Amino acid sequence: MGAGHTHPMYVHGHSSVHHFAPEVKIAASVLFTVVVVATPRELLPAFGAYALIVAALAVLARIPAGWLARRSLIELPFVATAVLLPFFAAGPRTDVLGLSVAVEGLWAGWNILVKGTLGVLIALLLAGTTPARDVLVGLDRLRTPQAITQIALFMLRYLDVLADEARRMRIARLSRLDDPRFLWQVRGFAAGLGTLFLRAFERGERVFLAMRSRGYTGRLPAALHEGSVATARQWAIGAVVPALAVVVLLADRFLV
Amino acid sequence: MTALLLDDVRYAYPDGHQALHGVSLRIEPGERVALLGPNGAGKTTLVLHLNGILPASGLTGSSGSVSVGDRTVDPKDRPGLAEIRRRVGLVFQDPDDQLFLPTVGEDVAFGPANLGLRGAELSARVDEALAAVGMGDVKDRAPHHLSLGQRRRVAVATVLAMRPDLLVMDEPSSNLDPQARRELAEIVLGLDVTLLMVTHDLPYALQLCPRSVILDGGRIVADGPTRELLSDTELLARHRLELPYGFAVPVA
Amino acid sequence: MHISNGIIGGPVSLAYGVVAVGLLALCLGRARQDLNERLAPMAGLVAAFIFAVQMLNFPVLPGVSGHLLGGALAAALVGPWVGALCVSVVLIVQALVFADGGISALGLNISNMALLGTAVGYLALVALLKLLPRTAAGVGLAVFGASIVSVVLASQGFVLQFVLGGDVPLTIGYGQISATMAGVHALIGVGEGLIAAAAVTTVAKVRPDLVYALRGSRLERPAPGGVPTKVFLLGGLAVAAALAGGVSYLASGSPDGLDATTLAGCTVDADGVITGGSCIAQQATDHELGGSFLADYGIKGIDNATGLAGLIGVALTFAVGLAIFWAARRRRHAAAAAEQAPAPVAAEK
Repeated sequence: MGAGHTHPMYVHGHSSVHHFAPEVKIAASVLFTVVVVATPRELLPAFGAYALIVAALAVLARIPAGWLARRSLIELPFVATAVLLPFFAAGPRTDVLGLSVAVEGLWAGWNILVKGTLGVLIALLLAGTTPARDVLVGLDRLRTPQAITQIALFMLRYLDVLADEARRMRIARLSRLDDPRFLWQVRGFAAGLGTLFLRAFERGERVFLAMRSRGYTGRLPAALHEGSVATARQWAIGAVVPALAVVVLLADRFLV
Repeated sequence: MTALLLDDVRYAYPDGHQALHGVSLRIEPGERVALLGPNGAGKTTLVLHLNGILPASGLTGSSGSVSVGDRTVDPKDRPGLAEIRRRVGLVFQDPDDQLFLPTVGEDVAFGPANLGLRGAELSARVDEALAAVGMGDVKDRAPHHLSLGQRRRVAVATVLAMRPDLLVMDEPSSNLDPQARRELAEIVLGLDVTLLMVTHDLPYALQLCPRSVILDGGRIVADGPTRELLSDTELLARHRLELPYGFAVPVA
Repeated sequence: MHISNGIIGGPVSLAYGVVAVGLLALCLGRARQDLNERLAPMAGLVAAFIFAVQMLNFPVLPGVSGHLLGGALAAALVGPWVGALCVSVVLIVQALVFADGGISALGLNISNMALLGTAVGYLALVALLKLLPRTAAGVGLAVFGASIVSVVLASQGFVLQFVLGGDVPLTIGYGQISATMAGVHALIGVGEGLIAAAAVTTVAKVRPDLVYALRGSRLERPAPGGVPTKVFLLGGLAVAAALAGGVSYLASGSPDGLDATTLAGCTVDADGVITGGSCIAQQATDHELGGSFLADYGIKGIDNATGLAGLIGVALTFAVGLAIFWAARRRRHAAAAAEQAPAPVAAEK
């Protein structure tokens, strides 16, 4: 609650990566991801190099490998897709371990697997080293429309409040013997959602009234957004990551 | 038969925080008992044990047993749990957590309908429960549009409609204006039910409950007639309980 | 489980990103008209609500639980503009703060879930509300139908994205993928629709002014001697199932390339809100898996059965419809009536 809202993805720490300006981290993550996605899937060494960059960043940020591994399970459904693709793709086929698979499908599966995994790891490094509030500050400094960052700010502030309300309502329902186990028994749950919306909406109205009575006219005061803006040096250091990726990509493309 | 029997109940939250350190308590049928204690004493945690919401089945770090009447709470026994939840009626502190359906009547019907009642029997049960709290005339209104005192009385009705053996109220007097507070007290005194009332409103405890139990740091630290406990200023101070300014326990 | 990086090729992702930014700007402008200076706190709370809704699991069958996508629900409650804006913010935060959904696929996910899902849901809702009476049952039914249409049509958006940027030549025709996607999503839509309908009617009864789709008009009491709720419910289910099934059947009839379904998706785009197709990404992936399984069955079993997968989808949809009907009937008789409540409720579902 209150300021300094943290979130389950944040790994508390004081590494240099943690203290880096959030706008630089966001920009670097986005650019790095774009380079990874744009890499032709046949350039195997390039992906190896990307993995090394990610590993180096993780070590620098002191993010435990186990945490990264556990959190990247979020990607599991896509891994399954990747595994199935070789069996459904058209074109010439080859034998792997006695199974007939399509060459094209193997490549496509590999493509999804490697790009998806690298993407999740990059996003995890960003989320793990940047508190939610700082992500918003970073987005704001990257000229994201203020409406978006403000909505996100309010959303993060009240998400826990709403989740808590939902949890208490559930306990109160259970106490009165609501025990849904089939889809057609969830009327209580659904009506609870309606009630949750009512309360969220009315809380929004009250929050707004409280803000307006303190002089709010639709824009948060600019003073709230000041602070340690990224220095040129930070930008330069931050640019190293995507630049390195581009170098890897070009080198692989034209030298190998 | 004992209405409620807690035997050495211990509980630790999944994050390892030990909330209850062996609570034993016995309540006889017809008793009205106040459960007093400062914030963070473990009162709400204890209350959630009474109808088997806690401990979740298969959770480690919890032990002890809770019995309601002739039944023992067992998180793995679903039909048994349903019977326990019928017997123990929990009234939550925030009536908005309890009231979630569009009209008062529907909400009061929710519990007994889950018990399998329907038709005329169900609506008779609803009327009876609403009448018991003096709210018969708001049956078709939205809970949303009632005052806090009214909502709290309706919340009591939602539980009474299940004809519980033990009524458990969590901070029933909080945020009520004096009149609503007094009206609620009159209603509670008029109910023929075993009562456990969680509160730190000490005068309210004195008014409604002949017996009190003080819970602090997950342990029961005092158990006796409410009048005696409230007269022991040192005991109260030790457990961060305070009588309101100017209040003195009336001499019997 | 949003689309992750690498599923859809770079240029297509980029194009969708550009389209998403443009449409988001439009939504922002219109949302500001709806809420003016209240925009940030109100939309923030609504976004928190949608985020919370996606975190809550509800049981589907013992051992199987699902969660809402919330696009149609948001459209019904706060309208298409604020709804799309809020779902977008949820997606952005999920990608950057919770590492859920690829950063490079953000444009795909936003056009899918936030823009197409909400827009289609809202258009369907408005159309259905014109046909149905303004009773609790009528509104519930409209939300139910709109949810199904939204989920099913939006799923075709994913197929479109896959056609454009999946760059994997498959042995399965795109028609079959789209048919199975439609079938599977019809099932998801039924679950989503039931819950969204009950949630919206709850709000409509208490504060009709907060349901954007109703624009504050109060609910009418059901006319005495009118069509009973159950007939409404069954009729709605049949229409929805037939619609979803029919679309997938049509689609499976034209096995190659861009087919009826994907074209249907494009038509919606032409209706003015969305220029790129998209889909409910949140679950698209599993359903892509489901699709592969069914499609495989179709291919290996009967060479000619391009429509088989679609038929299975339709059959599954009807099976669920029947199960719900059966449950509703059983509930009337069985003692364990979970939701029977006094008169006003009878009109609810």
